[in-house]
Amino acid sequence: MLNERLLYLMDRYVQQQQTEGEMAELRLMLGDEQYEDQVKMLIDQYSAQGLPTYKMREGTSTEILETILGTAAPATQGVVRSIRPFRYIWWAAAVVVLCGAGIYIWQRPARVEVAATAGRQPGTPGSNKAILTLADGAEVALDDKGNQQIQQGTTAIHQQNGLLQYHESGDAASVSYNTLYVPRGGQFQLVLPDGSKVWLNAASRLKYPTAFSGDSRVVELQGEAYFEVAQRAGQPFSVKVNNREIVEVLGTSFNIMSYSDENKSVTTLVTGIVKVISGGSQQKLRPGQQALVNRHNGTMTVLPADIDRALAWKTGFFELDNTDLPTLMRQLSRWYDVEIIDQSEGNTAEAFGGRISRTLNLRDVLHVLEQYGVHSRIESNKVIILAQ
Amino acid sequence: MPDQPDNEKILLQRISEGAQDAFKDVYARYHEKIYALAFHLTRYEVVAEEIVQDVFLKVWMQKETLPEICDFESWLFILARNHIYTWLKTSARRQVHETLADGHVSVEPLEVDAAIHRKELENLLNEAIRQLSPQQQQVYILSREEQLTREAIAGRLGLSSETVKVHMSRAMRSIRAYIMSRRPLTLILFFLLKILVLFFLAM
Repeated sequence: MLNERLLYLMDRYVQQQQTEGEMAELRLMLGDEQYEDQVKMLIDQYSAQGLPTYKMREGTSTEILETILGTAAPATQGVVRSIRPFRYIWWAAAVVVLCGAGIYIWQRPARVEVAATAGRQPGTPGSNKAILTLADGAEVALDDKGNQQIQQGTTAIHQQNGLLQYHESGDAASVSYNTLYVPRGGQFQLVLPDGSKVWLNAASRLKYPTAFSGDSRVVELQGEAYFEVAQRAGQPFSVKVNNREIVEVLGTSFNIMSYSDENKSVTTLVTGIVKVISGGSQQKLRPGQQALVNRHNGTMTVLPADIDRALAWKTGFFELDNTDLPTLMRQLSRWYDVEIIDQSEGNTAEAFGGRISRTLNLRDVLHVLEQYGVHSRIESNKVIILAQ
Repeated sequence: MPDQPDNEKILLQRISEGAQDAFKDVYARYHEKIYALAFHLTRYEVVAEEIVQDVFLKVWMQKETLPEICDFESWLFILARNHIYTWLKTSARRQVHETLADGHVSVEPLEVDAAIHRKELENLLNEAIRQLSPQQQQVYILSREEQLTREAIAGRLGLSSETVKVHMSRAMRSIRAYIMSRRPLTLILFFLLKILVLFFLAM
């Protein structure tokens, strides 16, 4: 039952005919949650009965739209900005792969030599590729063009372009372990038997069972991956990281960066809850936080995270904001599969800003860095950073 | 348009896959209506614009779930209505609070929340400021920290007062979107209202 007084006061207010006293009375009602349902009902009524035409200020409509679309990727300027439209390509491609109709080609797993980077021009960006090691040690090379179904015991594995998907067999007795290795210059997406999704970055390896049985789901990671874990009551998911650290998960999405050439491994939580355990200490993360674990002594620090930065690789970018040159160079080294030789002696003055698309050739990336005073030279598959 | 619901399903599916052009179509279809409703009830252009931004930001942030919504238009308007209600409630309480003498009003739960999260929000604000363009940053800092007027900022930076206004308004939008995309509405509304007031002052 609508409060007549509220109705009257709201009408006066929207018609801008309210007296000072009526406004004060209305405020008391609006501020009182007892009237919440009624106020909401009134708003719905105004919405349904048609409103006068109010035009937005000129330009504002576009500005808001741009702000929203720019929020996942903080605004940048200059050269870097012009590259930004590429940022969703890989992600969009991954989704299309997920939803697209399948072409099934049966193929017996063949033993392959690890030659994923052969025949590649130096400096071309990385692409979807990986090597799957089956339980019996057989290796299957996966690239962007492959569409195949692999039968392993009772487990069906389906590859479609850059995505590898496991289908739960329901036969938990025959659990075995597979490993997906993504070489330098590669990336790959994986759907585990429980429906959890994993995006693997270059130079990374994930070991996982072909079926999740028992009271926990455990996978092992080296390198970097973004996880979207499917919720399963009573069967928590955990990620073992460099033998020392464990990330326990309860239905959630997060990124783990744990390369052996980085000083710290970093777990960044996007949604849900995770618990990071390192040595004797453990910390719960809230969304928007990250745990940094020192690779050498296992000490842990929890800090507010820059999520865009942590996930830039997955969105298809190198993030320059707050990134130092050596860190960026290690990222370039993994993605373009090049060796970096730094002769600058730390003599590169300017701070970076913005982000660079991972779809660019290395030469173009280095060209962008020139603008920040980073001078370099490419020699076969080496990048030499020059002194000023 | 009889085919609109089907067409909309396709658009929502495409948005969930990250298609910006599909998002633009849906935005074009609804934003003026939401603006009109928000303005009708708040009577402030700036507030109505913020509500439009918040609502569509939320749509974009949770794009993956859009295909699961059966009646998108109703869902969108409920979202808008809830934002409008939250603004009405918060702004009413704030003004009631200000008109009463100190100590007469008990501290609202919302404000306790805001106090607890103050530190966290400050960090978030600093992050949000860091992602602005250098010029927006400069304008924001001069206005916020040095409390300069728009004209004074224009003089200091050698820009026209109109340009400063544009920078300021972009900066505020960008900061708000950055924070909103990382924290739920209720905790931060108070904080944001403060920013909004500074925004009015700078204009």
